[in-house]
Amino acid sequence: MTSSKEIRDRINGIAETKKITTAMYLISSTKMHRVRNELEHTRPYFDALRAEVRRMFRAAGSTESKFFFPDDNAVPENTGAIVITADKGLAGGYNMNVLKAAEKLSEKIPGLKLYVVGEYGRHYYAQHRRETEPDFDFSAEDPTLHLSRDICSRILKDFETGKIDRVYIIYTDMKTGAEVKTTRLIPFHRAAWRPEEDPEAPATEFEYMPSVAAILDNIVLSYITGFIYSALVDSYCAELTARMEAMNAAGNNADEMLAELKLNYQRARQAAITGEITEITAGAKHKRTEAK
Amino acid sequence: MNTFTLSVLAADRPFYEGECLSLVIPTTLGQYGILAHHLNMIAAVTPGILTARLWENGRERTAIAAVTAGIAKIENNKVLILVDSIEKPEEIDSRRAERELKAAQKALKKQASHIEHSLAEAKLLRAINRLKVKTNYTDKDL
Repeated sequence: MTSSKEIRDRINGIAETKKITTAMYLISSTKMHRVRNELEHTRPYFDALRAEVRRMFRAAGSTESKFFFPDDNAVPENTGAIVITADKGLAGGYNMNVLKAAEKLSEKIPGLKLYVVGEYGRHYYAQHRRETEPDFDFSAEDPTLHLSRDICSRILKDFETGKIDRVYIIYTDMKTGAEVKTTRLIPFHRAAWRPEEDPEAPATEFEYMPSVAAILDNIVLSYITGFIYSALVDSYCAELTARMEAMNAAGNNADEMLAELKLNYQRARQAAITGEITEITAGAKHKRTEAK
Repeated sequence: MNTFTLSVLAADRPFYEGECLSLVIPTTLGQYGILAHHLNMIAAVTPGILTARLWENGRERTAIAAVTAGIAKIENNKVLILVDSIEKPEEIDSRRAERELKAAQKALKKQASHIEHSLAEAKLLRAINRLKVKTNYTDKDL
């Protein structure tokens, strides 16, 4: 039987760990509320922008923009993927799910260039000796619009120079229950605008000033930035939710362990007392028989 | 009064929603005026000055703001403006704008790739526009 001191040390240790997990839970929850709030401010803009871009694209027919496929059958040669992971671990399966999706994509597309957001992912690839794009060290913590613009202009720079001609983005979507999504960012594809997403087909005729292509070129940067920003915020929220769940589970486990250990501790303590009493009574009895 | 509904959304916040008498927006083809019952149209907005005569509680109020690139959509007497950012004169930090102006000028001098050049150019335009709005319209009774 383990001594009661050993058990007491363990109880203290677990209680300390539980304090940490509870604190992490609370921190994650407050951070998430803040980021969610920010997203609420930006959502109307990006939703409206998305709707307008979609509508213009449908109305436009073929456009002479480099962001669109010249024809639907063109096969891009160099593909890049933005992989959004967390900066830290301890978030359940969150990071692994994203990395698994990235693995799947790179199996399908050999020579996939990886643009990794978040320290965890970079660390993972460094350990697995898998090359990632240099000078792309963005943090996943507290996504801002500014950060998304930086990411966007970096991606577009490589797109412009022809280093990549197709970009995927792998992120975790909060809206569909923290599911990892692999979506193509650029170039836009006609087939990608699914009609069911657009219940109100262009009923009214519009005049375009100066032209559809020029308007699209004017806002494509904002559009991509918006997409990246939403993906970053969604991923960050998913990360925090995963961490909250993980920490909650850890807290529950700690409670369970504490209950069991406390029982064991009481038992050990009781056994020690019983043993002592037995010793004392046995000793007293011996003395008494000696005296007689 | 002939009015139309104006809603202005910036990337970081919904900016304005309400009735409007007339609106002048900076487009790629120059300043463009919009009155009520305008033809349905979509236009490209460039960095510049947006002027709106708003109709609030039966009174007219003129509002001026610096906008960045985006689009304007007019549909059935509803005007929707989507821009990256929009700022009232009193919200503009002129020191920051000047700093950005200098940074953009420096970046333009460097031999850079096409996209870097156009990004710097866009930054320069935004900074100039901010300073223009700030110096011309601050503390004026609108």
